[in-house]
Amino acid sequence: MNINSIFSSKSFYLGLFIRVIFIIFFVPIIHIDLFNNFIIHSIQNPSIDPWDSFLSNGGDPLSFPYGYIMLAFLSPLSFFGLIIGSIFNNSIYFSSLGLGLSFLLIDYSGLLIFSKIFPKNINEIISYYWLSPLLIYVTYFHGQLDLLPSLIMLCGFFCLMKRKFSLSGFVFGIACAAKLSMVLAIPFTLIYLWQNMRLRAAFRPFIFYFCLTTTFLSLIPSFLEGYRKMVLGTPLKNNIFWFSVSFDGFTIYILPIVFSILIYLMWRMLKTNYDLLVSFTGISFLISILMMPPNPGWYLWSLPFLIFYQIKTDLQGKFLISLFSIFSVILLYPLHSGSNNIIFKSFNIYNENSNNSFIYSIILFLGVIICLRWYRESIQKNDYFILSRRPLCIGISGSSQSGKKQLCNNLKDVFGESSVNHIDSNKYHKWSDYSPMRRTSSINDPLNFDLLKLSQILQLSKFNNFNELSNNNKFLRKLNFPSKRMDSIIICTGMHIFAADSLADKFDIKIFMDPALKLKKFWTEDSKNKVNDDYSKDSKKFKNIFLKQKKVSDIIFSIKPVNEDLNGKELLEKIPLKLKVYFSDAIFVDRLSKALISICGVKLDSQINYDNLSAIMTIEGEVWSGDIELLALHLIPNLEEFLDLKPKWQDDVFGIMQIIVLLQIDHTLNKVYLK
Amino acid sequence: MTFNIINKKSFIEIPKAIIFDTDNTLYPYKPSHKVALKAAINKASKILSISESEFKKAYLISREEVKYRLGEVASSHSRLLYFQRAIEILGLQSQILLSLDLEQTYWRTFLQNSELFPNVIELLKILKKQNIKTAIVTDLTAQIQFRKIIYFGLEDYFDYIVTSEESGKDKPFQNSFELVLKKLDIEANKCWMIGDSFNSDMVGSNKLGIVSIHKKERSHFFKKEVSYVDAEFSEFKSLQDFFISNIF
Repeated sequence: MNINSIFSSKSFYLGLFIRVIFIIFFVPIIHIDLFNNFIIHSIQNPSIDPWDSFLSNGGDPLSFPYGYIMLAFLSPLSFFGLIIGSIFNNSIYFSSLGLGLSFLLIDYSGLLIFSKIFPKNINEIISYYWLSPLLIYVTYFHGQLDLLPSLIMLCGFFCLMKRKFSLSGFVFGIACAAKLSMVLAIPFTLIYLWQNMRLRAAFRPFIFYFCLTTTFLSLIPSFLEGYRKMVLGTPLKNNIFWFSVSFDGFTIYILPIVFSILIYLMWRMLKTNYDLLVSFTGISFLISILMMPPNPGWYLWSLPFLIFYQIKTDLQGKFLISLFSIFSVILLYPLHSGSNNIIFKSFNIYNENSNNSFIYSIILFLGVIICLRWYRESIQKNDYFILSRRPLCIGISGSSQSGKKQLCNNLKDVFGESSVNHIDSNKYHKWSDYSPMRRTSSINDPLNFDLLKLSQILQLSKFNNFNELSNNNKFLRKLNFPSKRMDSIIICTGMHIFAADSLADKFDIKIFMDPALKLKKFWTEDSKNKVNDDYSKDSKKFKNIFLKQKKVSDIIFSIKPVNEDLNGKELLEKIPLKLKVYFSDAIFVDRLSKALISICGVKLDSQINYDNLSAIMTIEGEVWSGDIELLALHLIPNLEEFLDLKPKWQDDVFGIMQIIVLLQIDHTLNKVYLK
Repeated sequence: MTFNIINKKSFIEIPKAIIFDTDNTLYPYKPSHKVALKAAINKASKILSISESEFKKAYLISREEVKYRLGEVASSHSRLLYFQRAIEILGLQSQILLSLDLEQTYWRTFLQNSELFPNVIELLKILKKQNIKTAIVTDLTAQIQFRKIIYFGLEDYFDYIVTSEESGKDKPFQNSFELVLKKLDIEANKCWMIGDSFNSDMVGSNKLGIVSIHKKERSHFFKKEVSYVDAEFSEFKSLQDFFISNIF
């Protein structure tokens, strides 16, 4: 489908035509002077240490400051070029042609990866990537090789996006082996994996495969003398100290400081998502090239990330990036060697004394503006950033044995155990288990619970007040309170958590469980932990407290048997259930109804109260967990970042309850964002 | 490819209504069907502990059997019946829950992998704006076709829908076309029929005097009797441009 879309675009053929023209008619001077010499020598003199072999034959140490990966990718077609060149007695031209064709294949692979990442933005990808003047100039006219490591890194990010963490670590290792500067992306990726509790399990495999690849492709070769001299000893590495300020005999190197600040800023965010990871990595690459002497190849490091941003930003941002790309070519063109045209022989205006300070200043200005916009937009539009400031607090109330814990567990299955902090109000009982008061008091009585303490704990948890929490450590230990940092979701279950207004206000989402009485009765009988017999007796006494809680709830779930005439032990069997849901805000009910009908084929009856825009929906029908998974993808694609790596979806009414809570979360997050 | 008018006489005035086929006309059917069938077969083979090829073979036999027995009616396309019979062919009797499960797995995966052709919604919006009535005439059972329309979010764009379950016979029998014309209350020559199938959509509608427009697949070049086709196109963008340019 994507490939068809690419092939149906005229712009694709334009980009291809331009590339083919450059490959055939232009021979980059650095190919002739540097890369080809090394690649041809390596092909003709195979060796474990091709760098040493090249140097010992009087080769230029600057010819190929790259490792095995680059050599492996570029050698095959150069080899064919060399064979054909020997027939036509022009090995330089044909091996350069082979190099150009290698890059055409690599370049096309980049286009395919982008089309996988942004399947709905094919035309934009072709405009921003395939027709990028910067990419075409640097790769096909000037002949730099940096596109390859940049695209390998993009491939690593694609694997991360697809949750293939081991493969991602492996690909990141390859990217760093291809070009050491790709290591700039590693700290941000490690922070991303470490900070997300649900992704932390992926931290180890990522590190393992990254280290494994790095060991074999970068560390072991460093024992080779030639590799040390040509790759590790490249004088270009000193450019990270190029942008500096000197005073009173001290020199301050700006780039390492800015890079460290970026790492610190990401770490301080407490939680980041994939978009933020891409933004931080892209900004760090962009800043790096701005603070180093203008080198054509380096401008490609940030290109894949800039395309990520260019697709998502507004028209002004898109224009700025296009302008940056054009001015970069204007700056680089006279400063670097360019190409020899095979017809006109020389096709460059290379002038090493060319003074382009003005253009460079414009690029610096554009680059800084892009970085600032990128940073601002990534954070402002980031739900995770909002949540990292304040976790989402869900309250589940309802009388005893109403299914509160079941719903809490079902939500944990979706968000992942490590992302959810469950606060059970039963642990805030005023009387201990052995106290005579415990036996005489009713469980329905809210005064038997220390709701004030519960309120305080919720307050501290919501605002991630770790210091305060650690001060309360003794208290927390008693409550078995988790000492780890709070994560994105707090779920509080209890019978009276919405009873007091001040406590109810602490919850972003209030859910009330109200199953059919006879169903609850048989669930209770079935339960190992039988509640007091006086439950039904005094439930009338506290009826108003539950009614009040229902009134303030956003959602009321009421599970009933489909056949309401069933009685007795029949109810203990696995019987078909139906779900009646009350929504205090019916804003997403229409969307939910359509999705439930179209995807699950359920029977559905929804009534909207137009006085207050509340709604009651009754749902019955067999629903499989797979349907629920598709519902989640269809209704709330943005919430994927919040879900566990392998969320466990339930069948039937319990699965539908999971979806409804997720929709309410999405709705609440949108409200927070709009605020 | 642009909107290619073959029979100019049929396009002298703006249509009063446009009738659309669904499968392979509004969205590509084959890729979704392929993935969906694979998912259902995969599930069946795991649950029944048989090889995928074994189940697929039974499914294909079952499909032919059901189609032959029922003839050209809506239920002859029922995946539920295909799966039910396939399990029976394998000697496992009628497994009701599993048949339902496989049917739902099929349609779930089908919907998950379905996407409207580009510019379908844009075209429907233009038709609404120009006060041109729209209808769907499709084979298969009403339940799943309605679900598809809702899934694609098209339910508000169509004025009428006729399924072969409602009309009693699949296309190219004229039951569905006659019923939709009755619902639309518009003369046949003032209506356009857009569909991908030459036999079902073009021949069936053209015989009633409806202007027939063939939605061609990009790579689909088959020889046809041009007399049944008044115009052809491959991308909805061309049809959209046709209405925007208002050439009538």
